[in-house]
Amino acid sequence: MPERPVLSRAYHWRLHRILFLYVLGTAAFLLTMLWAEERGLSRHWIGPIFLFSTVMVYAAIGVYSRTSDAEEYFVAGRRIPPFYNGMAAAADWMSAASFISLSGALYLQGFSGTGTQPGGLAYVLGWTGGFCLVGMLIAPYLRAMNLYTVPDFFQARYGGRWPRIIAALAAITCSFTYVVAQIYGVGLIAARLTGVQFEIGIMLGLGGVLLCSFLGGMRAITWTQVAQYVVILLAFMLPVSWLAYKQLGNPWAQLAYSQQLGKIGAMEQQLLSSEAEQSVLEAYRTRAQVLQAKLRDVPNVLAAERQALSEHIRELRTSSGNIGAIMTASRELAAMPKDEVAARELWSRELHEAYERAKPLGGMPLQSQPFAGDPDGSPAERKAYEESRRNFLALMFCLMVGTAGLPHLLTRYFTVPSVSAARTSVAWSLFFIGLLYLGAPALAVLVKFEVMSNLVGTHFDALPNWIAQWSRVDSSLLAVEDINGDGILQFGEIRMGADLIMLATPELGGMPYVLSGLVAAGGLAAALSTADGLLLTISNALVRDLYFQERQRLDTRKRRVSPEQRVILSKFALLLVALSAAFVAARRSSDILPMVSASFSLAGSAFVPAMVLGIFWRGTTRRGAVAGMLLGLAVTVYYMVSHVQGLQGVLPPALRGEALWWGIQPISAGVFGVPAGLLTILLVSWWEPRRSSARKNS
Amino acid sequence: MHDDTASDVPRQAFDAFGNPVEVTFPPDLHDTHHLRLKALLLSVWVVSSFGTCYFARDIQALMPDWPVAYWMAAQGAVLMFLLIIVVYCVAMDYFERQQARDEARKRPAAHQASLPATDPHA
Repeated sequence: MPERPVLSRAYHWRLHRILFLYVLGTAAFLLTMLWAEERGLSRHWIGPIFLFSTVMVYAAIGVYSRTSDAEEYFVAGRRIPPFYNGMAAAADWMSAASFISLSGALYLQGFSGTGTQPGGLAYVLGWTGGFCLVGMLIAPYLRAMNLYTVPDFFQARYGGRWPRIIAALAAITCSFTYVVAQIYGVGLIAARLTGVQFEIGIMLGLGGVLLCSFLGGMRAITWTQVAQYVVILLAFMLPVSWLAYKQLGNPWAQLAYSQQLGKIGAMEQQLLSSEAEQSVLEAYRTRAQVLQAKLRDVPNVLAAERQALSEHIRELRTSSGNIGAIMTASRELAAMPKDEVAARELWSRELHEAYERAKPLGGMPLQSQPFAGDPDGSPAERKAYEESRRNFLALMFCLMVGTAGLPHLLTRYFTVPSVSAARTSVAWSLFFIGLLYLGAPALAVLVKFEVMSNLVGTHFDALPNWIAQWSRVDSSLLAVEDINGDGILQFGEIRMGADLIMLATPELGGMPYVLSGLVAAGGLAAALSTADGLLLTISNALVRDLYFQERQRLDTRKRRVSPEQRVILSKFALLLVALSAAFVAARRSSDILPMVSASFSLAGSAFVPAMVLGIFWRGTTRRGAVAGMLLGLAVTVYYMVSHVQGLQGVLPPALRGEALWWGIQPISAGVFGVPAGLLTILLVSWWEPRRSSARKNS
Repeated sequence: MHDDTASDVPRQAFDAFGNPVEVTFPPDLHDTHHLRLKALLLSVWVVSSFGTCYFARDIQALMPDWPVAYWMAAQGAVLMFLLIIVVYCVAMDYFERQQARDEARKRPAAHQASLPATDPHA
């Protein structure tokens, strides 16, 4: 394939001018909204205005860059400059989870999370460090091969059919769980932003995604992602800088936040020794004991409680006739668990929660202390320390290697004009991602400081409005409860969900409501941009790598399909995939969300060993690659599935995992899958030529 | 295995237009000359991510009054990754330019040198 001509200077300047005007337009829009809010624009309008105007902009870009040219549809004509491709890759990379939940995870988990739930800074490191692998080991080589999809690599390098089929199936599997989570996020944000139903929110967001990827393929997606990146960046930087300016008099949160870390450390010590906090913990411990007693005799307790409540209602009816009190009591009766199983489940969950919250600081580790436990303490503490550190490193490894294997990210580097541009583009991606990720720890620290210094210690009557509003939206996001009955909010009495930290930052810092709308629009942009890239990856794997390749293979005499027909078929596959993903997301099954982290392990073990060895070792054979990919995937899937609580009863005993291997949590299964795949490929590729030459000699 | 039958068929791939193209893997792509640079940068990468995290407690103990371990993991490592990848880009571009220059210089000379060798009558 001929090397493409160097992009002209005029083309670059035209792009720069458009970007400049777009940023200017976005800023002007924000200022107008701020002015309108000042003049009394109702809050009910701000959310929908943000939702519709941003989705309309994305859709307009999609309509403008519509195409049915195959080269444009699959790889955007390979003429995206590295700077813009980096921006698009950053938006593609930052999912709803990493925009909305990352700061929250850093708030809740501190440096490294707890032993059984590693996290915290492992996410920051893993999601950025992987780009070094992408840039040095993978992306430039794939770009040099002029590929269209990632499974194409396996076709071109190994030939045959199974490497490509396995790669395509793995790409579909790990991208599909990911896209469902994105659409779930779209629905959630759209529902909160406009107050419509969750399902309608999904459809609204889906409309935006489809208009752009359906019409324009990679070309439209690229430019939409650039536009979305600008929104994401603004939505993140404005609240963080605002909060930093308010607390420290310095808008550069990334530089200034470390002085707050020291103060937080001091406040944490103060909270640990505070008597009010102790009484909260005591109250939770009591609650746990009560629940434990209840759980010992579920049927009788349930019957007794139900009877007590009914009697209470009867008494109310005969004595006072207070309708309100009767209604509340009846509602309570209706909300009682229906049968023994439900009651047992509910109470066990409550028990678990009470235990969690009876830990100091509500179960949160100290913000800046690396790892749980103590290396110089008792054997138990030493073990906790070792396991916490091991899990942290394992999670980091999986996220890094997974980054280097996720197909929707790698295809982004197929759109640049040259190999050198692919390298530069990876650097730009890391730069643009870094702009946000350097701010995420700062945001977590600033919010924690705000909560500890201003919120804790307020009277329950004087709590700010937003607390009530958010806890009404979803009690798993935010719940406060005066459990020790002193009328003052303690740190242990607040329970925050990871998603809340980012979404509530504007309200926490007392900013105008427009910024809340902007943050939600940023979350929406993050979810939409990732969904775009994923949908295209899935539909291309389905149509190009599975359907057409197989068809060509089975019957080479068949009429050649014209490029336009291919594009049309890809578009319809994309529509189907999007609708089925929306269908799965609309079922609101919460099991799908943890699977996103799993897809990193899956992608890492399926793609990375076969890809890196294929690029750097000429001796890698097809058989070796197939065996390595299958075994790597098998190990990863086995380790994850065998430790899922819910499946323990269903699985045959041979598949049930008794103990964790070296204490590694199943979320980091890739830490076993990747080396297993790598070793298998090496061994089989090494052994195969020897075996066949031995057979020839004999 | 199923794909045994196809092992002798030349590796075929199809471009976006459905035409078979010969994309046999170009082995020249391995820039084995720069493997040393890669190894160096990757070891810096391992040290700045896994190394600093493994010894986070010890690093923290060195500087008790400033949260150095937290900063290293939260921001220092990310900046380090960026630096690594920028160094790699700049170095590779430099190497490639140099290689292109060398080739341009060598080509006329090689052309002249090879002429008599290919002439059987010389």
